[in-house]
Amino acid sequence: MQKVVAQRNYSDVMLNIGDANYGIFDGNAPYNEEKALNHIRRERFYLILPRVMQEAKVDMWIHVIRPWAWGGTDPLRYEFGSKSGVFIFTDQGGGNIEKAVFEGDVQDPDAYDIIGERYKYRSQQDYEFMDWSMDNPGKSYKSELDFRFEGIGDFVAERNPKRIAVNYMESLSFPEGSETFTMALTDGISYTDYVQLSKALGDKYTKRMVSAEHLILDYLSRRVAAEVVLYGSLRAQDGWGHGGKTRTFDNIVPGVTTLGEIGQASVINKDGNERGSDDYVIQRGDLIESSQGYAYVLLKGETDLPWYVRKFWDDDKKIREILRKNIQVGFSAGKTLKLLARKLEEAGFVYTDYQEYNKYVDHPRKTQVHLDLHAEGKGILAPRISPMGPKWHWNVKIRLFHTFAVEYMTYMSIPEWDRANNFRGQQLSGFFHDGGVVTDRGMEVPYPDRSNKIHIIQ
Amino acid sequence: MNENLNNEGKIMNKVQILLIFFSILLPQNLHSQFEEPKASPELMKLIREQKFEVILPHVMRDNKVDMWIHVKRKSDFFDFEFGEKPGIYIFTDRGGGRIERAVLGGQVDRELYDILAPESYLGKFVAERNPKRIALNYTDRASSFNSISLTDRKQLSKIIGKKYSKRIVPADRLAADYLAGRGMAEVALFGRLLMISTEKIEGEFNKIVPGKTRLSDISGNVFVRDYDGNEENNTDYVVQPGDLIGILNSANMMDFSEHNGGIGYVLRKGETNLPPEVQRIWEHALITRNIFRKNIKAGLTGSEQLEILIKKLEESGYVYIDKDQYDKTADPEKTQVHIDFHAMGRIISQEEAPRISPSGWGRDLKIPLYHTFTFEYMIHMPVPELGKGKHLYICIHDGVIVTERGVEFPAAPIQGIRIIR
Repeated sequence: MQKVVAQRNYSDVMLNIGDANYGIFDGNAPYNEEKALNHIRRERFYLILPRVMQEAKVDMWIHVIRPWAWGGTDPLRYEFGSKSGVFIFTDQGGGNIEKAVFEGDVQDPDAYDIIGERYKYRSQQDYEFMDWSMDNPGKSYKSELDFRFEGIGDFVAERNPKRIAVNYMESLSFPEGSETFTMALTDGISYTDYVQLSKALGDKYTKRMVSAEHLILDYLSRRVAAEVVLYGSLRAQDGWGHGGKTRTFDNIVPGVTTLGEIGQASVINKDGNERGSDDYVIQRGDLIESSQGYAYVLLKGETDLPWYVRKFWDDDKKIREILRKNIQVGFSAGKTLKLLARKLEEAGFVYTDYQEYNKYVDHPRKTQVHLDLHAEGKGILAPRISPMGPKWHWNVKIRLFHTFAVEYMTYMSIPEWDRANNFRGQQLSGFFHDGGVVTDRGMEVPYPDRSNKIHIIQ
Repeated sequence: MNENLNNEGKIMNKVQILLIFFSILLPQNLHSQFEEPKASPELMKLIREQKFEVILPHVMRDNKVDMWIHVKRKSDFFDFEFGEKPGIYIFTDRGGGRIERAVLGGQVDRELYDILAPESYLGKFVAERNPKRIALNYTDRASSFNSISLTDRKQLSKIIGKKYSKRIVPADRLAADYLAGRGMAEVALFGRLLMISTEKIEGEFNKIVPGKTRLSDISGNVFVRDYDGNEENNTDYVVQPGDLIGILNSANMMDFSEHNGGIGYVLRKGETNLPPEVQRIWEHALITRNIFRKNIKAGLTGSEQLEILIKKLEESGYVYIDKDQYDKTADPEKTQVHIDFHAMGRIISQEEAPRISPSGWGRDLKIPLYHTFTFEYMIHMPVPELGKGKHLYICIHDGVIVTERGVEFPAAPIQGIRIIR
């Protein structure tokens, strides 16, 4: 079986496509990533592109990735399979979008109907303007920029679009909303390029330009089935980050095994105090949280989980069921958050906007739940079912096969721990971060998550 | 795929042939070369749990069944869905959108089942729930779903009494619907297996040395047809220039399986690219793929769907043929297309599941949302310049899923006819 690491083997394609964007490609892939990337791109062109353009009432979309930036932060470099170029998509009716790319190399030329070399367009990258000089002896040009959008004016005029989306921002703020806060999600074209493009298009078509910001986010936020495969299958095989440690919950020996031996882990001891150093020796009464999930070490004389661990786990199951049933295709993230908060309250929880225990609520003994169900897989956090993030995160609709982090926190008050710690306010906190996908049936789980079982260690 | 068998009157279903090939070949050769995903306990639990949650309530209601009893004494085709242990598995629709899951007389994962009780509890259990319609694992036809033994059937009727015995119906359609339903973990698995089998097929094509390699040296279902439709299928026939070779190969995880296809052309002396007729047949493959892709949706039965596809094919200038054999009586100018879009995923579902095909029991079953199946179609293209009745043949076999948007490819379909030098 071929074992490749995309970042190493396809450094050109994968430049800067890492943890934030397609981190799931980075290792142990059972197949050829380039083929998978090409396939997903084509599926998206076929299934998603016509929809988002029609819904945005745009019949032409021009996206400029500047060559001198080497596609470093452009959010669509993976979608279009290139780190530089001028991409033009034209709605030709009947669900057909013509796909053209100029001034750039693309990973999968067959995904496009037109590429620059086949059209009257000069590539600065290849210094083709020198050919122009050869073809036009005695003539000169003012600047290489004269060639920047050569031919685009005619290309656009031939198609006579009514509304042209271009990748500049109009209402959204800078990179907020990307997973690393480094990608300017919707803002790519430079001032110079904008000026040159306007010149090439002429007044008539320049007036028809609109911001592509929402179109870009819409395109990024939708998924095809092949992306569910990618999301689910690679996560399923990555070993759950055991970090090469051989010890699992099953062979923990209380009083002997250290946290370091079971990989990244921390414990809450029987008095509610957290311990996380690698050399901490696991004790009876510890509740262990690690990349493998949760485990509890029985105290001497105990035969089952103590009430608070049992409740912690029962609460978790109830919360998951609420999420599973109530996250639906077509709702906005904000509307979904309101719905989930209501369902949680109806089920006896306190929904909290805070990522910490809030002692000022009406019912401080009730388990508090915080949600941050943000998108995963494309470096974009929206739609984000969460009180966090900019407003537009909440306005984005949840689409078919939306892949997202099932991230939530629970805070449970335990009177015994209060007493053991001079009423300083010790609570049992749970942090869950798994993966979900939204279908017609609600939330489903595409790969085994780590937190579906609590192990009892005798 | 195998006209010779048809000619001899031994008409074997293509899927049966494939299964035989794979069961013989895979364990010896391919499994050792390619790592297939392991059925980890966590993954199996997730798949089972999801099917219980999102598929079971729908299929029980669709089949108007409020209790499903599956008596399992040994390993059977529901190992994948229910678990391997024997027992009486009882699923009861008690309202509220969830199905109660019980196992009587079996040791199963307590986290997946609500009730574990001794088998002696059966009579009381059924009576307490008072079901109106009880599906039981038998059918009135020859089928793998006929799995309850005569002894068990008699014993069960005796225990639940006349009142409830009268309410028993065959579970075959319910079972087929349940097996055909896919959770997202299965969709991810399906796509991953497709990618693995594609890699395997490429590996097999890489082995071919024209003039030396025999079809029997290549793993999978390997076939070549000449211009008269005569087929060499996994024989000692040595690959020759001018051959169009088809290879089907599979990937599995337990009883979850798919198989995929690839096509290669062996260049003749002096050829540097595919000859025009081979390029032409590939273009037909793409045109017909698009017709299928645009015209399949969830909710129709296999036979209803087939009628639509036949109409669309014919409107586009093709001749639909209900056998995988060139029809010498058809318009010699037109390319002929045969379809067998059978289910993929669960091995049993390749036979006992919704099927867009001229044959098979599953033709009358509805195609569910997220149904995983194959675009298996065969193109017989006349090549009149070579003489009357001469034709080229290819078989396309790609894994697909039907979603709200139509048909999607969870993994890359065949990209073209591969050139073998």
